[in-house]
Amino acid sequence: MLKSSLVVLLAVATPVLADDLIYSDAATVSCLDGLIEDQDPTFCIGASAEACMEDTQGGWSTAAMSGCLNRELKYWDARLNVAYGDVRDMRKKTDAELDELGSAARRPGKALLAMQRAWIAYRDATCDYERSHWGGGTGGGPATMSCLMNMTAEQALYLEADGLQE
Amino acid sequence: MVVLRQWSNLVGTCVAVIAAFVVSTLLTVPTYAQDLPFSIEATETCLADLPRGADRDQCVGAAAEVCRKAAEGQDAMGPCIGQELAYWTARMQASFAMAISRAESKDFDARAMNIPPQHQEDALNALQDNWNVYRESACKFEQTLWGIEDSNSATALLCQMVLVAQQTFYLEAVALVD
Repeated sequence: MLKSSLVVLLAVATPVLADDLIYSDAATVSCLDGLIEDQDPTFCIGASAEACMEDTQGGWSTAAMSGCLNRELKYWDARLNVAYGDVRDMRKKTDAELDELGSAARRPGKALLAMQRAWIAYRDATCDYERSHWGGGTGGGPATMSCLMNMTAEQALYLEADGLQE
Repeated sequence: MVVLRQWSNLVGTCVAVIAAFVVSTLLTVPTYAQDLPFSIEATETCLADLPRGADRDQCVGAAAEVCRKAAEGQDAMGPCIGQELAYWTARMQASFAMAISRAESKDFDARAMNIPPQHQEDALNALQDNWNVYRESACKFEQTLWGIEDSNSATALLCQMVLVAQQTFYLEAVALVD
């Protein structure tokens, strides 16, 4: 009896390693694919992380939650980088055209860079603030990851929308 | 962030108190704006009628749109958006003041209990300062997409209104639920 209790306790206490996470981007991708016109895509943010927490043994431990959120953060971060690159390339072309014309108009490529730098500082300050709600508690890890994932996803979707305008 | 935004759906009553304060603040409007048929009612009704969990961004600009339509024959889009922007700015400032007050209290309580304070007041001030820089740069970027330099143009004001409203929702969640 004591031995089986110890086994249970050890199982609960054993930290979930990154390799133990059962994670896939599928839930988020499928949610986004299933959206009908004008539906808000931010609704889909976090779907894969949540599925990961459900599917992984001990998935609702703070370590596993952080791991699952971090995996979906990576998915959105990759999308953000692609979207930013696309918009940057497009807007740099406009900058070059304005240069050629000798226009005094503000350059969109430079404005994009300034915006993205400001967004990074704003993201970090927001997530620092959200972490501060948890003191030194273990909940601070998932809270920070959740904040980074949500903000990164929202910025990726924003930049992707701009890239679709032309 | 989305989590905090979702929390704010639970605090409709408190938001209504802030909104009432904001409306009273806005009774003093600039002279040019007094000719506009502007009322914040459409935005507030839209927000009040939203089902729980629905995206509140869809209500932002509702009052400006009603104003624009009512001001038939005038180039009222910019001024109407400006009026709704003033509403959101006042509402955001009220929420920020409440959030800062709570942060100060938490830091004070921690010191009183000999617990290391989390410096929430500093963190919230840093958040808002960085958001302000982001808002300005984001709206300058938006203006370049339309080739518009005038920061009082409808395009520039629309960008400001949307971002200020979104930050308001965030701060209301922080101020009222945390």
